[in-house]
Amino acid sequence: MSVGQSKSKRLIPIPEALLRGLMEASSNEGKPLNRYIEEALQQAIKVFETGQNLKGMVHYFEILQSQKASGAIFTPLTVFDFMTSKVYITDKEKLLDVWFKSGKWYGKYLTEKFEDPVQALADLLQAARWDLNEVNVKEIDGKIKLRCTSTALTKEGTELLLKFISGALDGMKCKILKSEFMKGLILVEFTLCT
Amino acid sequence: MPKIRRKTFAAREDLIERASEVAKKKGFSFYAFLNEILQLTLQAEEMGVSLRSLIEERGLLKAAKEASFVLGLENLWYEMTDIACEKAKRRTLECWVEAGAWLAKRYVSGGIKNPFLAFKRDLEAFTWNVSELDVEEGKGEVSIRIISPKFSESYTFLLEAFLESALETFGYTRFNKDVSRGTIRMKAYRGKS
Repeated sequence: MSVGQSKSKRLIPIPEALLRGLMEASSNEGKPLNRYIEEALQQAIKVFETGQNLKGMVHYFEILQSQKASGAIFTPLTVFDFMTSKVYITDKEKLLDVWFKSGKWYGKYLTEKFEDPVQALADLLQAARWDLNEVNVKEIDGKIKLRCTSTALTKEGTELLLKFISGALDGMKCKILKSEFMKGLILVEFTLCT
Repeated sequence: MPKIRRKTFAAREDLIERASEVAKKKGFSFYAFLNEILQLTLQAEEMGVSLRSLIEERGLLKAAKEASFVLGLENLWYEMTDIACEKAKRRTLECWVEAGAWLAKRYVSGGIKNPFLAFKRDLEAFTWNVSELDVEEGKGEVSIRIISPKFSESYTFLLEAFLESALETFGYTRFNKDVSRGTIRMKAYRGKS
């Protein structure tokens, strides 16, 4: 008998509906219910003990899955920065157009995929672009304000990202009222079109 | 308010105590904490994953961040690669070579027991867009095979340069390569001949 099995047990009450779902899930995995719940508890404790948040982790996973589905790939940041700055010098207009179109496609994709595509865009940017310190969406007096800040973004990178965001909002059929940027800061004000 | 029907299950006492401590730190009651965990477990199950997979996927993003990789849209990336190669091929190539060496150096200098294995594991994780990727390490040699029909020509050649540079940093000096759009086949050997 293993050490784990020799531990004493305690009866824990949980809502019947929740237990039914867990019984189904444990049966799908071919595990006894108690083991299934204990494993979930162990994993959750591990998450919290390392200072993470389980709810955030589930949300993160959804984001990552949609990133995979939308054809996102990992790229070395140094290469990414070089390419943006290099191409920006020689083909600025072409590059801005490419980023806008790419954003527009992404906006349409998010509209199909998420109930709140604007918030999804903010979450995706926050999760995928860790060169951004903050991505914030706020609704004030019927207008939505999106703000991105970064201490790492170059001026070119900031302008391209704004173009991508503008494209995404266009793809979501939002009406952009105002947009501005400076190195490491993007501000966009828009309304949702019904 | 209707009364919620409850049933019981038997859980290990030591686990309950640990969970209670975590719940207390988070400002929850044990039962609220447990219910949230179990609900999230079911939510994850509905997405077709276990909590273990969630933790692993979170680890992937953390590893990518530490390795200084960002996520970008594939099409956009290929278009930019094509434009950069058209305008400044040599400098673009140099940049990819530097990035490959930097990445490998990170593993070599990180005090990891088997740096190549860590590199291989991360490479496999970061290249989720690639249809086929095989990295095999034998005695004094490594073979890499990558097949992805979506790669542009420039991207294929830059990725090959990136990998070659990484392998050089791992001490491989001789290379046999077969590279064409969307396909990289590479064998690298240690030593002079």
